[in-house]
Amino acid sequence: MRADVIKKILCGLWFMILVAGLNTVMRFIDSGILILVFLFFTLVDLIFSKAGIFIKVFISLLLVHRKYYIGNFFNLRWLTWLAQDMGRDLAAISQQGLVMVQPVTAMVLTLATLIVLQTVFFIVFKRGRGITFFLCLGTALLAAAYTWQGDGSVWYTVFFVILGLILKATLPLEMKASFPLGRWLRLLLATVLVLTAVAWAMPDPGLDFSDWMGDGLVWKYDPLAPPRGKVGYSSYDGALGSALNDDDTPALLVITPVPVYLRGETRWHYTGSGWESPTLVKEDSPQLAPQHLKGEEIDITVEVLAAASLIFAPRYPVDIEVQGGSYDVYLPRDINPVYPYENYKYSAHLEEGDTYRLSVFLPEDDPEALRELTSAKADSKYYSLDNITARVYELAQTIVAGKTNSYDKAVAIASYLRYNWDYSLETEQPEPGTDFVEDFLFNRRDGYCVHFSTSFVVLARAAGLPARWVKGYSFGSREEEGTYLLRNNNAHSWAEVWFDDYGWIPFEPTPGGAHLRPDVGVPPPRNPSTNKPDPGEEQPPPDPGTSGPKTETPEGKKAVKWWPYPVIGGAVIALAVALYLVVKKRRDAIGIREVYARLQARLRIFGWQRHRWETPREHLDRVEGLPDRPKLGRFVRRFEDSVYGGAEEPPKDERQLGRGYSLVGLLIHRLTRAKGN
Amino acid sequence: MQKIKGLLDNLNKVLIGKEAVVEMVAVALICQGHVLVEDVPGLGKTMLVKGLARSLGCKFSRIQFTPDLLPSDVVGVQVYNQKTMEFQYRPGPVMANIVLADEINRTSPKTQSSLLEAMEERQLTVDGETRPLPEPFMVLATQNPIEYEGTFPLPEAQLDRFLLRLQIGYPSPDNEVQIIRTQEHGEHPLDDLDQVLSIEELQSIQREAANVSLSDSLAAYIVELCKRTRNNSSLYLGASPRGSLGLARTAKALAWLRGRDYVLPDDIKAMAVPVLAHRVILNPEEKLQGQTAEDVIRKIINTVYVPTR
Repeated sequence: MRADVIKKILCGLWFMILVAGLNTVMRFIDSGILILVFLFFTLVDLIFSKAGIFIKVFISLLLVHRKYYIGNFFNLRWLTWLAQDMGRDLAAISQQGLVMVQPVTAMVLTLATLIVLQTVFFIVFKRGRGITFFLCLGTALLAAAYTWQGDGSVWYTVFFVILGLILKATLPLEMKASFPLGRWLRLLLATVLVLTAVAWAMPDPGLDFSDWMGDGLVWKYDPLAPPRGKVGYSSYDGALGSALNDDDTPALLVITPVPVYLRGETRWHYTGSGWESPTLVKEDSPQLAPQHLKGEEIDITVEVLAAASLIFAPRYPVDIEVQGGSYDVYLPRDINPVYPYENYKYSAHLEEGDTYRLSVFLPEDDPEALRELTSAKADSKYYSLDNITARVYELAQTIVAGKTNSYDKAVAIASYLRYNWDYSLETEQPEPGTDFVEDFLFNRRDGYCVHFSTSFVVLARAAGLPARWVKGYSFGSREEEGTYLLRNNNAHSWAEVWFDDYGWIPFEPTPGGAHLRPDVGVPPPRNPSTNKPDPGEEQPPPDPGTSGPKTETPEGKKAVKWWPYPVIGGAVIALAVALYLVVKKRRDAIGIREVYARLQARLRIFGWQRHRWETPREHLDRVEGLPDRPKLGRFVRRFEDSVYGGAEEPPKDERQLGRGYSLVGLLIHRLTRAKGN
Repeated sequence: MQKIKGLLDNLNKVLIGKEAVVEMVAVALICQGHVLVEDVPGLGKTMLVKGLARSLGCKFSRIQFTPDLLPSDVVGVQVYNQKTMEFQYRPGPVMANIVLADEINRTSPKTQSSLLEAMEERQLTVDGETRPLPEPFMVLATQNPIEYEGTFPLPEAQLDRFLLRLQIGYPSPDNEVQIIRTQEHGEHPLDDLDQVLSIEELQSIQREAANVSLSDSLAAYIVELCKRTRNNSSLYLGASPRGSLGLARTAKALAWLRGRDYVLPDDIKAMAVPVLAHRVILNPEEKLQGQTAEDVIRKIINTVYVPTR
């Protein structure tokens, strides 16, 4: 391989180490995506020289789009939404740090940093400056990140410096040279790229990379490992924490003016390995929200996309109307006297295509008011310290030390979890006899939403707060304005803390999202995010003792529009034709010098190129086995006329002499010649 | 063009199998430059020069340089004519169109310089009287590289005055057989040569060749080649601007000879060794290692990028 190719790859790697180092601290972006980005960007650097920047931006947009608003490929309004959300997030960064922004913001920042750094590097480099500037900048960034959060970016810093010094030592780099590819091969690559991207961004592309990519890239395959569950809503929570596969089967389609968390069930009794399912009794329909709360009432319509036995609803349902299915309302026996409906559960028999309409009270929670409130009047079971180990108890005291009110304590615990632990679906259940929360907090240090939410509840109780565990669905992805698609990987769990005279306030301890910033406390922001899949629980193992509802989703029907396909097909064909015409026109217009340069680029692949100290004739004489030499000879004469004789651009026919040496043709020639010899 | 072809044919008849050398001589002729032939005796140098003179129909003379040769033996003397009671100039052998200066390094520097001055100035000064040399005027000097005993090597400044340095080299076995065959019966191909080119025609050729175009990029290429000889670690002294000038002129002449009205990088490469090799001086250690100036120039040619834009 040519030295400059190796050096370009090294440079790409160098920047990836920088970003990966920053990533360990800030957790912007999945490692799998990061590797993909690195591969893409390096490939682009190698193949394209001038157009590279545009292709990088294009790839980045696709990644962001894919991550952000899946299914909206033809609705460019997602760019507006993205801009709005990023504006909100950037405002939050100054106060909360990067952990509290939506992953998409962090991703955009990461990709932008990467592109800017690389582009500036190549530009600066062509002007003959060294890489010292980047070495210092990157090291400073990593060091700053390290001191900022005290996290493990030390090795990245070391690698970054070492690789930077190697690059510095191997100067000068020949960055200008791009990998020589014929025009058609470039075109082919670009087409493949576009088609892949389009297919990927389709609502239902029929391509599911998640099976082999998992969350990030799953490198290991262990045939003896037990079958893994999939993310999705289930009512069984007895044994938490096994590894899950991603699953994006659609579950619900929600039409709502404001994105909301949909609650399914709550749990209060922590067993040390999970949550005990309560016994339910049939009760009256739920009551209204407390009168003194400020807020507005909204209507929500939910379409069931996969058979379900539960009605999901936001915090304060006012009215409910089911079309196509049947339902009963169950309430636990020990109803809370103030907000009995908080603990409701709708058992239902819903089939695919059934819908239900909810009227919901959406309160405006005020952090200042919440700070004034105590948490003393909740039912005693929510203070229960059952199965809470001593280490966890002590940790809770440390976290909330210095906090004087319930709200600040709860925020401190949520922030602590979000800042210090990683999100991962690659977990495993703790050893039998080991406490689930203690294992997560002191051994594992990574997990998915159940780890965070369960730990939150346990820590909150250890800190004296009445808390309970809630599961349901997070926002899902915005299909169009006001319509959100909830998939199995939007199943989620979070926690609620009791405030006297107010009720249950949700808290979000799981990292990777701006759902609930700690300063905001409660209300779901008006922007949705399809951040990391927040799976609820694994699919229930057969459990005869539980009569809980299940949302088995064998084959989910999605709200897929059919028309994008022919439109895309037509657009791609039109694009290809337009591209061909443009290319043809430009091709006819290019001068003989360019034709010669392209011919050389093609010959270089087979080692037949002109050495730079050779004259065109010497090259022609030296290289044996070039196809159609008399024709090439004539072409080289015309080329010499033009370059050295200052002759007019020769007519098209003469220029055509240098064409027709396609890569495939040359390859065949080379192979047959080799056989002949 | 036809005429110069005839000249080349003539020369190829007397110097069999040495087309490249003949071409170089023709280049020197077109450029009005002088040629230094560095080779062993008996390879046909004299025949080449004689053939050239005969083809041009001009005057040829030959000076055999010996250690005791005096400048006046070269440039001529003023003798007192008792009849006219005046000094009369009796021209020396250098007063000819084509001069073969054989074994030039055998004579004393003083005598050498008398010839070299004539070469450069194209005029003679005898007893204060300046006389122009005939047109065309071309010196073909030879020096014998293997006999260093009793020689006076030419100083660099004087070597620089030769446009080209050529090596004829032994003929190939086939060609040598052919040479024997052609001279078997006591006749010499030289005897059959006719004049093919008049002085006026030669001058018009020289004008045409000077009009051959040299692109900017190739001029820069020439300069780069010469520049590389100046900062090459193997060389003690690099080529002077006279060298790059000579390279440009000869490349034009070669391009014209090969039927083009513009110069190719190939022309420059072909001329680089004959034009530059005698203008540079090797470092002593390189010389000890058996390197030659030609080798170094060839290496330089193979490192400088050929412009193709």
